[in-house]
Amino acid sequence: MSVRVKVPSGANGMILSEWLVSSGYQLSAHCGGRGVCGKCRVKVITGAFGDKNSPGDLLQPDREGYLLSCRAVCLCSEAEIILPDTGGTGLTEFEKKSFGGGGKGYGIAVDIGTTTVAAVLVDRSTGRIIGTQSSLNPQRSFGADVISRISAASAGKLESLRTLIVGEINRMISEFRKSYPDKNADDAVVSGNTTMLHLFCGVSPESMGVYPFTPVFTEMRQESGANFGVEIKKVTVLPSASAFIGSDITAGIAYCGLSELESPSLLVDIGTNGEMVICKGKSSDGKYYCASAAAGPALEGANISCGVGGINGAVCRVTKENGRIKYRTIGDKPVCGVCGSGLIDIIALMLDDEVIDETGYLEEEYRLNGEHITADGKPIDGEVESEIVITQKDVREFQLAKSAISAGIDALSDYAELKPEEIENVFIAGGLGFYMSVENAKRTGLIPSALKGKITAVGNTSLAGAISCLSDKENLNSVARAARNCVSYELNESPVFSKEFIENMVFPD
Amino acid sequence: MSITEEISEKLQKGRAKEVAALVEQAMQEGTAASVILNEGLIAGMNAVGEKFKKNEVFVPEVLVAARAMNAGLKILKPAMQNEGIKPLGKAVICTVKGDMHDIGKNLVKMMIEGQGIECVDLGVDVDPQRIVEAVKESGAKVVCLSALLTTTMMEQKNVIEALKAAGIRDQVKVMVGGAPVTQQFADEIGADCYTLDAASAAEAAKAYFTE
Repeated sequence: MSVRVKVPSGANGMILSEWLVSSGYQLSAHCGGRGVCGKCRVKVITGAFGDKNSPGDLLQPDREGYLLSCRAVCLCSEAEIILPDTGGTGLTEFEKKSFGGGGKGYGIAVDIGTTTVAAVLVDRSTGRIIGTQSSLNPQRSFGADVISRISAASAGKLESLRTLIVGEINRMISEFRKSYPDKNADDAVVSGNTTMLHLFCGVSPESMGVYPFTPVFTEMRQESGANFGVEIKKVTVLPSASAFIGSDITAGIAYCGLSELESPSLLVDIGTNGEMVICKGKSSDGKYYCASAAAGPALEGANISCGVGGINGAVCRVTKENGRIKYRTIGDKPVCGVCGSGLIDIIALMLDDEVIDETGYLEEEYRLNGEHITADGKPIDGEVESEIVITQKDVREFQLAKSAISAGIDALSDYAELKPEEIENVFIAGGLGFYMSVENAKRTGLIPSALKGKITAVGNTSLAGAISCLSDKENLNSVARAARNCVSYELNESPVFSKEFIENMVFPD
Repeated sequence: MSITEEISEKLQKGRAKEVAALVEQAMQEGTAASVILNEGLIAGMNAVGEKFKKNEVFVPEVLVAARAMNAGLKILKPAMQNEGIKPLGKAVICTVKGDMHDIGKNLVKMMIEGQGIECVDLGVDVDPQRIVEAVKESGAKVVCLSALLTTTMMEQKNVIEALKAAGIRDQVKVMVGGAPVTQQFADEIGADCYTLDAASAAEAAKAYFTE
């Protein structure tokens, strides 16, 4: 839903994006306000703004009335703008399995993602899910990725970041109380990457921004909600393993039961960082070999010219049947951009149609033309041509991302003394993993084709792991065990990674 | 188009298999290995470097081209040895102590190798003393130091001090680079050279060997 905002004359002299953030509006700024990503566009209704880069001049809106709020300087006269749709369907899906039960009352599981926050109300006696909510992480206005959040926290914004996330969680809790007044939760289990957990606890993540990337804490925290500012009786923060392996991964290890499997297994969470874990099997050394490959935010839609996150209207699947291209959008809404899963499909399609060759060379911009269909395959009237364009730079961004992930898997397997083809169970975690076509992920080389084992998309295992901890206390011990047995491997030190990163830059034949 | 021009063209496009096949063909046709190397492979890599400098291509293109170059070199190596082609000289390259970011360093390395200079790659997070030892062992004429963080850039100065202390500062040219590094900083710490991008670094390094 878009919002109309009055900018008062008192904002005179402030950068519009900064004023919006300080006034509590959510704004997406993937580049952290450097004026390069174009995601902080707002529409001007009345009034005008100055140009940050050219003092004294007015910033000219484009033909449709949009301008970049990070370049706009508020003037001494009032203005009115429209903030585009910042809500969206976060990705809360995961492969359902029985969570067991045996607890008492109700609990709330929270997954704090860098992009998305998800919360689930759980009946602890049955393990049943009562309600689900998701929203975009309000800290996004400080930048899309973990590094920009760390920079902001180091620059004195720690308390603002903490307030934003705690406020969002409180809002979700009160939503649940409104919707289910007879199901009052008194426990919350919180999971997330190590930086998000630091920010939630109000602990500076600064030391994780520089070598040797040491987190202030990794252990489990169990305290009264009041200590965190959360309006619930008790809060449990799940344990992490390192700066790069947060409780989102340790919860995933426990949830997927890696240590229970006889044969070697791999868990990969595909996002801005591709976190990956290899377990060599039940009767092996009991270790979890972990690494994190810096893939960049391309697979989450950032740095891609038409890229968006997993929001309503994002092209999420593209298929070709009998020579005709069909595409779907999230929520069957009109096209607003392309998200990671859609990008994978389009790149695969471009390879199959030889629009790009194996080196990724693109002659001219590629426009996605096809039929817009609903999730159940019905054509959507009047939507026959999309505005989605893929540029050479988009393909290159994708190559960097996919090569980092596949080279990471190769290097980590090598470190664990396994060949990729020996890995029999592959779990792909994360919202992207749940929606993407595994076939196309292999076609583009995002997943090494050597991984012949059974590939399962498990979705948001961070959230699923947190839920399992609410319904069965034993699961909390499993997560703690997983955190203890993680062995981190630094990919930068790996000669295999450097070599494979170059090798995997091209697309498979 | 001559076969070496064709090698250069294909290399710029990153077509590794075709580059390898063309190098093979050129050798069979009796083209000298030095000609294939200079007018084919190195010329192609230089062209990529030029485009990279002008922001016409991005990091992946350079990597894809380097991959094609390696494929060509693999075929050419025996002939190069037969002809007695030696590298121009050696350069020691690494990221400084405390810095784990090696994408920039690897790019510079590839571009320098593309000039026919042998790289002694010490990797990431390298102690000044190890750099001193590597220079002594290899007889390298150039030392390339990369630092991506404001917190690690001062380490470049420490390396220069260590080279001085070991009495070998005059034997090497020290080149510094990385996101926070500027010409002013390079001057302040007494480095010999700073360049903005990998292609310019390779050119500057070559100049040290051919001057």
